[in-house]
Amino acid sequence: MNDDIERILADTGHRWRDRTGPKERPDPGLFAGDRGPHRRHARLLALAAAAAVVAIVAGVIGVNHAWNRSSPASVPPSTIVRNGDTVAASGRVVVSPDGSAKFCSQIPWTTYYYMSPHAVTTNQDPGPDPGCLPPIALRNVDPGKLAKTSSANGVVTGNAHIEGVWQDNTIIVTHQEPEPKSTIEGPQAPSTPCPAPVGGWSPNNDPDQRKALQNYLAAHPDAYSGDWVSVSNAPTSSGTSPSDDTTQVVVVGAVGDLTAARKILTAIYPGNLCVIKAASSASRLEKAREFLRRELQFGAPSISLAPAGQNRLCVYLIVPVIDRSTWRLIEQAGGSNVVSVNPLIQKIGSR
Amino acid sequence: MADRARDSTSSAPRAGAPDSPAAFSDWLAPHMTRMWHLATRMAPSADADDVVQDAVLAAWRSRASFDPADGSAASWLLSVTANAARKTRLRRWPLPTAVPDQAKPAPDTELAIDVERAVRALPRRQRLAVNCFYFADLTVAETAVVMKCSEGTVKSTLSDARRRLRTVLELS
Repeated sequence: MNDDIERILADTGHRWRDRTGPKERPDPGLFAGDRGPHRRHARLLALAAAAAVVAIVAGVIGVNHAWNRSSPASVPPSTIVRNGDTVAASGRVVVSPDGSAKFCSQIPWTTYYYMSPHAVTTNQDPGPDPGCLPPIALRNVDPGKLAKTSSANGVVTGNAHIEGVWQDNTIIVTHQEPEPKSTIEGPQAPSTPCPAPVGGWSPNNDPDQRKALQNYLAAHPDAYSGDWVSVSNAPTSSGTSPSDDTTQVVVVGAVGDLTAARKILTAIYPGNLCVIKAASSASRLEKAREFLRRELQFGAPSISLAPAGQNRLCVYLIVPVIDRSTWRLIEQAGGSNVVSVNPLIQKIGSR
Repeated sequence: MADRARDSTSSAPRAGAPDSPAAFSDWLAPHMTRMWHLATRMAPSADADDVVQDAVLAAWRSRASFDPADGSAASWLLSVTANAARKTRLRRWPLPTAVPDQAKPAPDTELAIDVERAVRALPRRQRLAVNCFYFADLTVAETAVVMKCSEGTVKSTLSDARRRLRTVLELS
């Protein structure tokens, strides 16, 4: 019988809840982008602007990461969208009172928390609805087939999965259905590309040492690509894992001699560290990011530095579509050795 | 063990979550306390307010994906909160061993302290189940959503946890 422990747990939980008290409703200004007097909210929104840079449509992850990992040389030409190609997209559709419609590249707001703060920036404040920039014009949309619709001032907004013909930044819709279910789970930290050391990973990591490591890397941008946090399911030296089911391991990409880099970095950061070979230095990545940020202007909802797979850091780019002009810019920035490009509108057929 | 019944869908809209900030805030308000409880239990080393704010923002951004046909607003929001807590736990570097004051058991009884310690020593899934059901006051169904498993698994996990706690606490 477990009645006694049942009662003890229920009582303990009840007393614990009583001590915490009720929580007030969130300030609507948090959602409206009101940064006025609410410093906490302003800070959160600023963090959101800085951190919500790797917001990834779940389907995009599956489709594009695959070729980004397996084809480091270049984007397959078949993915470049040209006039007359058939494309598909899922997201929000906005229909104006005059009947004109646009597709808002709806990006589930998920943050990638595992990066160094200095590596995370974005080319624009995503605001309360970052996915609506930039809109893509639609023709032949049926507002009656939108899912989860709402309307205000004659503007109807709803979700849809659409397929159609790409023509001069416009999708001529030929097929429309309610938006497929999407997950709200964001991308997970990549797995650790190094085996666990003899005796297992350490259960503890020192934040001051991590800061020292990041400062060192920032001072040597030509020698390292940067650092990121990976997770390992390998047991720790204490036989348990510090965060329920994973152990955090800092990964650093080194451009030069790996042995020398490991010796230097281990002295600075004796915690869980995995040093691997990097193809691109932080300087190169930053130049590529700045180039794309400048050239794409508002043509990219998100541009950041993030791991692509478990072995490399890259410029992580989310664009509405990969057209020829976009791809030319990506090639100028270093191609897919440097850039991981993730289109929100997928090409599904050639003209 | 009696499951707790809760009608969490009465305030839910027919499609998606409310689209205006004020309406969304109203819609979310009844669930804030349990979201905060869940965040505190799942990420004890983090600032629960930060976790909940992350969750609230994530819910707002993903409001269009909420579908009452898939489950109650409470389940959805608690799932979002659990995700935020998990991410915060990974974001924090390192995971401090210190527990914030608000999460410490009040020294009202030695038993309460012993229970907290015993719960923390439970295997991960058992600890999560106990924290959700007994401390955050989630139903079995809501706990199943957070744990991403079936209600039957939640019940068996809770049963295993109680058996282990009973031994640890040396209850006859």
